[in-house]
Amino acid sequence: MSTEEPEGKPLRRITFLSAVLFAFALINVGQLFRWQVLEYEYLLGLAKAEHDWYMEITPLRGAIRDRNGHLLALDIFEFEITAAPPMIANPEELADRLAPLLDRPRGEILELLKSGRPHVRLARRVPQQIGETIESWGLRGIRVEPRPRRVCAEGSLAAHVLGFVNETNNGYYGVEGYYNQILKGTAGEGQGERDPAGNYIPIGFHRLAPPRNGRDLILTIDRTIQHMVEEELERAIARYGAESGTIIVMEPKTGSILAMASYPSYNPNRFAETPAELFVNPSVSIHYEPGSVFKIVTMAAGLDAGVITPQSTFYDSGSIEVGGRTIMNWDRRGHGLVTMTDVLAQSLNVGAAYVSTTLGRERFYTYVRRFGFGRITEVDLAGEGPGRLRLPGDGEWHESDLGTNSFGQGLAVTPLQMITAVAAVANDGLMMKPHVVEKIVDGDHVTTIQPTAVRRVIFPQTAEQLTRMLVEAVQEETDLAAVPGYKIAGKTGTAQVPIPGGYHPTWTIASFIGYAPPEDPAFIVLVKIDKPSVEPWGSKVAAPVFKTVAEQLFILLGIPPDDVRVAGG
Amino acid sequence: MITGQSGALSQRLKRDSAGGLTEKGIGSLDAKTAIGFLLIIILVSLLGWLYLTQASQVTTTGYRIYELERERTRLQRENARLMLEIAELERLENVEARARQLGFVPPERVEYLVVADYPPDRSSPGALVATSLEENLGSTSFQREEAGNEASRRDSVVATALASWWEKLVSQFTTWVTLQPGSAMAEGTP
Repeated sequence: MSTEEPEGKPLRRITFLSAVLFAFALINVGQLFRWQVLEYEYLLGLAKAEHDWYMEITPLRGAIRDRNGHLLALDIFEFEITAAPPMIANPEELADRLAPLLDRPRGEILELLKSGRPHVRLARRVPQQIGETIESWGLRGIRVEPRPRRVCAEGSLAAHVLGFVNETNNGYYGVEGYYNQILKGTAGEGQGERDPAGNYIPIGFHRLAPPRNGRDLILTIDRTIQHMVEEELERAIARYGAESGTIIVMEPKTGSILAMASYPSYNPNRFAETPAELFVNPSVSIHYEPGSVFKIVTMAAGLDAGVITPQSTFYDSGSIEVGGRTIMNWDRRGHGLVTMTDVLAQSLNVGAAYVSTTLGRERFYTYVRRFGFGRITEVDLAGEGPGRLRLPGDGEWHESDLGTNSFGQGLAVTPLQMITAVAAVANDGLMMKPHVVEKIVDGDHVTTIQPTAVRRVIFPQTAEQLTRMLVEAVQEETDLAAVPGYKIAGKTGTAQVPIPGGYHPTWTIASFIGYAPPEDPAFIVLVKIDKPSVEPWGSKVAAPVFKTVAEQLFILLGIPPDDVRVAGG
Repeated sequence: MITGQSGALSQRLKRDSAGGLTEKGIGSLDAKTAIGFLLIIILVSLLGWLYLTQASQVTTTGYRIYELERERTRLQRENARLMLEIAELERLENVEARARQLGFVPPERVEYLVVADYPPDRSSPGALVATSLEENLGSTSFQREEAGNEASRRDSVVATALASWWEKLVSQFTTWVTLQPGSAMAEGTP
């Protein structure tokens, strides 16, 4: 009691303590403010990254097979490796382990791991084996996610038919583009929780919606025929010094496309390095003036309307004037009295113009439209174009078009339109819708695409007459298309290439279209060679290519020569 | 202060006694309470056990499902990898290379033989068999046969028809080979 302290001292102590406590409280509040407000998003992200587990499960894209079941395109798995740097305890050690596997400099990986960002991507498109190895290590802060990647098993084979698939699992061009929704499937998702060690917590929140994988497609394409056709096309382009070309092989009775090749082509597995113009499928998207091949359509119209017969004659003076324009033959000569069969066999422009003018504009263009020109064929391939056809009354049409159109000038068609039209003649006058998908497979459920008849374009008798004329045409016009032992119905075409202000003086498009056996056609082939520099004529350039293709088709499709078939039948 | 507090407590106890609480009464309440507590403990334990058992089962099943899902994913990936491997082995280039290794060459010429009785359409040899069936089995007697005998006889007829057709084919082929110029068989070498 004798050491009694002064009265003001406890008060000072209390004040001091209060101040200290207040300071601590202030620090706490400040820290809480920082966590709860300033760094809220960042910390929430960290917490979620540590506890929550979410994954969008990409569905497997449906496979694409040829008509015999051989794989053409399928999905394989690659991996994407990401990291959450704040969760990584020893970045140096991790960089040492990952660098050799990810084929990336250690320094770059270390820099990313030390970046302090919530998430960084270390590598993408990591091969399956490496991805699974890293996944098996169970590294904290490292996420290994499988990502499907499209692979065309045969490389560039049938590239224009297939199209390609980008990194977001979307298909473009070809069947990949046309059937994208069917092939793509529906994504699934997985959600759940995990403990700080990254282990899955099974009694916590958990949700799994499995993906619905895409459906498979079975094509009408035969990969052996496709391969053969692509090889022949490439050889022809080199042999004739041409710029590009297209070959289509089709079954006239069903509209099934057995092969569709264009050169130059590309490898869908390396679409990112490919110039965009190569993605376009010339068979369905690029139109050209067909030239004399179109005389088949003109002659079909004339025969079907009854204005001519195969034996009808007319006097070919070497020129004819239609709508103020003088039309001449390819050899600029007159051929005297000729039959309609001669018109085809000698490919006389004057004769074709005679038929179209005899028919008159209304009937001629009715038949042209009926054969499907000026509109899409509705083939199941992305990016199909309608060609170009001027019609009376639409403003652009000129009276002289009636003459020039009759031999395939002044109008533009796609190769697919042309082969579909002639296939109708081969199929007794019934036009079939061209298609490249035969079946859609969804597990055990298989949907078969039935051949679809579009319309009857000419009477069966007309088709039969015209086929006989086309057989004679091949025999007389070009023996280069003839296959020993087999009759072929066909027609050559040599078209000039339009340029602004007229036609190019030397460029041509050489083509040949033919089918066999004529009485019961198993295939029809269109060969189109663009701007050949060695020879300009379809009879010299495209016909021999047709012959080589047809020879092999007879073997591949098991079609014996005519005499054997007659003896056996 | 302490004296005052103990006095208040004793007074409260006295009030309780006056209210009718005897020693016996306190003892019987304790027993009931104890039983009650015991029952509650047992019930809670039972519920706890049930919960733990359930939780344990859920955890085990959850892990099992998780593992199976992982396994399914792994197998799916493996399947995709194997499909690609098969596709690559079946690539036309690989098949052609293998065929050449085995000594196959592209045909220089193709010969077709007209085979007797070979149906012209692609339904053969089914058409051939159907014809043979009609020839060999009268429809009336056929209908009367038991199902088992029917199947057996049908198999037998099919086999006979095919064997007969194959024999004709081989014989025709042998004759053709013999007639080929330069043929080893034509020159008398077996």
